[in-house]
Amino acid sequence: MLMKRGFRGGVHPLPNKLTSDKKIEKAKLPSRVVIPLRQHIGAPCDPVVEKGAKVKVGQKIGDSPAAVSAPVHSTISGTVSEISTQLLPTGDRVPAIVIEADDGDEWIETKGLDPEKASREEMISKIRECGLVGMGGAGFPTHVKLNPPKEKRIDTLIINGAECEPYITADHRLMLEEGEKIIEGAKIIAKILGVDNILIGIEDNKPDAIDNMDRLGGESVRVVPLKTRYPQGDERHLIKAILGREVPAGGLPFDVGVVVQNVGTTKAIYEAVTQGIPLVERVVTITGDVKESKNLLVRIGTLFSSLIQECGGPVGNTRKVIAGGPMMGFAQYVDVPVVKTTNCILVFSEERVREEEESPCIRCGRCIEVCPMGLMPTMLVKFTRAKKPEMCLEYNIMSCDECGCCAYVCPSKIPIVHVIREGKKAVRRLKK
Amino acid sequence: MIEEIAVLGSLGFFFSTLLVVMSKRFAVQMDERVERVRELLPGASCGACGFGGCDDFAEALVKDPSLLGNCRLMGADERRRAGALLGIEVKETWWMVANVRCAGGSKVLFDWVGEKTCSAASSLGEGVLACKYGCIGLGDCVRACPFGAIELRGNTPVVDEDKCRGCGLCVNACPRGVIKLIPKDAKVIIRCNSPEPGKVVAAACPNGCIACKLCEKACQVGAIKIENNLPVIDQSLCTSCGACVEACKRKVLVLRFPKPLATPHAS
Repeated sequence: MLMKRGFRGGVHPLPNKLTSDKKIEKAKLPSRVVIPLRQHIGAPCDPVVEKGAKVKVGQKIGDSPAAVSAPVHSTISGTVSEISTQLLPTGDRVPAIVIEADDGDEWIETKGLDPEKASREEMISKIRECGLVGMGGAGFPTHVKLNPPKEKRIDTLIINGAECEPYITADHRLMLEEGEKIIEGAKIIAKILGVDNILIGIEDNKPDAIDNMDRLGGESVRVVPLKTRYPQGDERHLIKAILGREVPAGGLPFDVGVVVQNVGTTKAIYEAVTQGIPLVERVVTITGDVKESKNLLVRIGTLFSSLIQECGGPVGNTRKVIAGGPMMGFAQYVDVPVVKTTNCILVFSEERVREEEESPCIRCGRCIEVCPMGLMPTMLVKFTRAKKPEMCLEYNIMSCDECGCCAYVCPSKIPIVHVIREGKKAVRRLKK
Repeated sequence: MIEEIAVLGSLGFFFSTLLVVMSKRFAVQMDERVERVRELLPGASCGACGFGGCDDFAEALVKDPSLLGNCRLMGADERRRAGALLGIEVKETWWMVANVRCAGGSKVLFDWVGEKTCSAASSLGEGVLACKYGCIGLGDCVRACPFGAIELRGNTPVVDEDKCRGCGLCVNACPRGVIKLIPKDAKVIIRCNSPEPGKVVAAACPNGCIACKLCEKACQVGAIKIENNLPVIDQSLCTSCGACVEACKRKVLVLRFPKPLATPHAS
């Protein structure tokens, strides 16, 4: 048996994976979708269709000439009804294309490549054309990640199946149901990068996924079981746990010869390269206080409200709706669309949400114990509140990943991550 | 007995003579004016003058007395005495006070749970208020004020103009630029900060300026111009007649001096 590995610090919140044995279902086709023109890190797209235009599923509706960007596609067939500013689940306001569905579900013609014969450049441009971005949360354009700078030698590809946040089971179900596609996708990425060493990191609370991937992976793709510990799914900690390499502060996995891809992205890469299918749908876990928690295959741009209704509606008085997991997700206040990075929709009722008053720091040091980056959150809070950004910098505030472990364990309920974000803002002002 | 007294006495005499000689010989030459000017400075070390604190500023003043106007906190009397000490003439002018350009009342989009500062609450998306430019009311300015001149009434900060010394720390602390310094003799002030067109403002807030231009038309002396969807008042033309205040349907304009002006402070 392979040895289980971990990293420094971290916490172990209740897993609450209510949907891990629920098969992925296709969600009802939405009658209207809102497709933001920026769903990734990088430059927003410009619309390439006009109001009133007829579009089909998979048709490109936005693109950008910028290097770090990814095009967006229509996810239903219908008519563009408006191009307006809409709210993203992250709270930003970006231009978006609203499409009203017609009766059919007509796709554009897609054409794939043969990964055996196609060149590296062909595959990368196919991935870009299909609008692929990291589906684990950050949304970094995949074609940029697969095209590392020449001077960085890449020797390992890690497929990230850790899924360490409570409640979310989208990647777990994908590994059980679409394991073949993930393995094939991983092989395509390895070919693009020219690496032989392919590893899949999966937390040991998903033994069925570990077995399944181990069986499918065979010789070429090795499964590495990982200790169940949040935030194992952060690529830095994943690399540390699996390879023992430490990504330098402010650096990227490139710097230690590694590329990390999420399992959802890997599956999407397989579909994009072999069949030419653009990123128009993704698996979203809808859970928490809804009648029936589900894993749904959702067209991007579907509004949260219709998905919650599809799960039987909320139970009790809803206090919070969160896009993403409970640790790093964003609470919502209006109806927003599912974007390429939305892996989970959490509905919390009043009973489940605890909002406690902050009390003074008792300097117990628990936040320091759990910080996976080895920072001292207690000092960062102190210096930020005392308006001393230069001291924050000295305590490496910019290395904070905002994983939330510190705030999770804090007995005084200090909103540490909020404060650290403020501190980072002050540091950025200082640098200007 | 006599011996001890003699020994200790002579030792004491020797060392005291040494000390006296040393203190004369190695005395640090310091401009005594620095200390006297420092005593006249307010001592808050707010930094608004551009120096590290009152000590630094006192040293700088002695070298260059024309900087005296940089200190916005000195009382009129202290300023006059410092001027006399430094050998410059002090002109009579008004100083500045902080003015909160928001009457509050914007719709709230969501509850903010967590770090209770304006800066944090304005960081998610465009902030907790429907109005992107309005006062959030969590008191970053209150905490920034070294003189305790700002207090929150409900969710709106109110400036105590007797305590306000116009140092501008609250202006820098406000993440939305709601607070501006205005001359203390400004006659009419504006209580809205949103440069958005009227339709957007009206949807977000019942108290915001919708740039209807009624004030501009009402002003007999042409002191008001609408720029960027907000009235800009030329205080030198304003006669404080109050016509604009009466014309404003949304109570955005407020007359500050219904009563006769007090005597100006020295500067």
